[in-house]
Amino acid sequence: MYGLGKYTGRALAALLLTASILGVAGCGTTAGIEATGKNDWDQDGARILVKNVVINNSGLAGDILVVDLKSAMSGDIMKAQVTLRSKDRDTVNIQYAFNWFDAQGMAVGSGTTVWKPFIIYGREAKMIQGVAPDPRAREFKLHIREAEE
Amino acid sequence: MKSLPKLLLCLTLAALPLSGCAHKVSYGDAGSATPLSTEFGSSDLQQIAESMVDSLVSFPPMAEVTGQRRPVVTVDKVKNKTMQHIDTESVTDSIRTKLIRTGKFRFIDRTTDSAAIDEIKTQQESGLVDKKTAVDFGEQIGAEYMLTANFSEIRQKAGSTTDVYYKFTMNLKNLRTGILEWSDEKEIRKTFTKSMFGG
Repeated sequence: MYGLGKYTGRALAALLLTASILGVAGCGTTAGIEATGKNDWDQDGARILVKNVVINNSGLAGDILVVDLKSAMSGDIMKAQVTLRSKDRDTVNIQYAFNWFDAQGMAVGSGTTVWKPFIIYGREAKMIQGVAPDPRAREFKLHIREAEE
Repeated sequence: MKSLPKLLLCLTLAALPLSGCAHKVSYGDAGSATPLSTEFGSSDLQQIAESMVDSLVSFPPMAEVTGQRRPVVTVDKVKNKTMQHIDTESVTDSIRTKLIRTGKFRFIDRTTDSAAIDEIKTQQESGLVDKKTAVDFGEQIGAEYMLTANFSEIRQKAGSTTDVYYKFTMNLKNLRTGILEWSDEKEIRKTFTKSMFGG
């Protein structure tokens, strides 16, 4: 009466499982790329920026390349600039957010991390700029993630 | 016939992730940048506030001024020329809060003046307050600059697509000279396309 052979049943189950996994995967990951730039001084007392890029999402890293990190001071306020280059031929929609830290590594600024939408067209290089929330900031961390659908 | 229980198990397992309660309340991310509609949203407010503050704080002539002293600023009401009812005071509140937090600017707030007048009157007239510590009228500091802003939108609709362009323009006016010392604008474009299925 079941009319389903052993193999048909397995095939159906596999199909349903795949569909359910696809349904879960549809949300997209919130892991992304972190680019950190820390103000420091070399032996001669000149200001240098210690750079570090952490990739937590290889899919996104396949589309977006962090080309460079820069920082400058506007008065006593730290400014940051991160250059991104798209490796994709299509438009890539991402979100970014800055976090700022003082010389001791303590977070400065308000508690809410504000995400901002950012569009990079195919094979384009584009800059993201940020300004520290107050003069204590000596280090920035830029988070980049895929735009949520 | 052994395959039926197995099949049922698989079906149940497969359906588990798809199921859920009909009603769900959860905390969201206050800083989320996922738009729900083309209407003015929280992320738009945050983007405007951050962009304006970043620009004003890092504008070289203003950085020079604020490097020497902390100028006193007042905030004017935003001229809302959009078709929407927007709490523009909330936008200027965010901007003012961020500017105060930079430690570069000081602000006066005219919206709380009536309460301040009542308090000073009480201090002066009630006889409750020690005259040495009572605040006198006419001692407040006048603002040197005024923040003014315009908010406009251009809405276009073609077929199933709605495109809304927002523009927030902000100026810092020197009240003594009338000169606009700083100005910047933030543009936001939001597009909504009605889907053919399930729209």
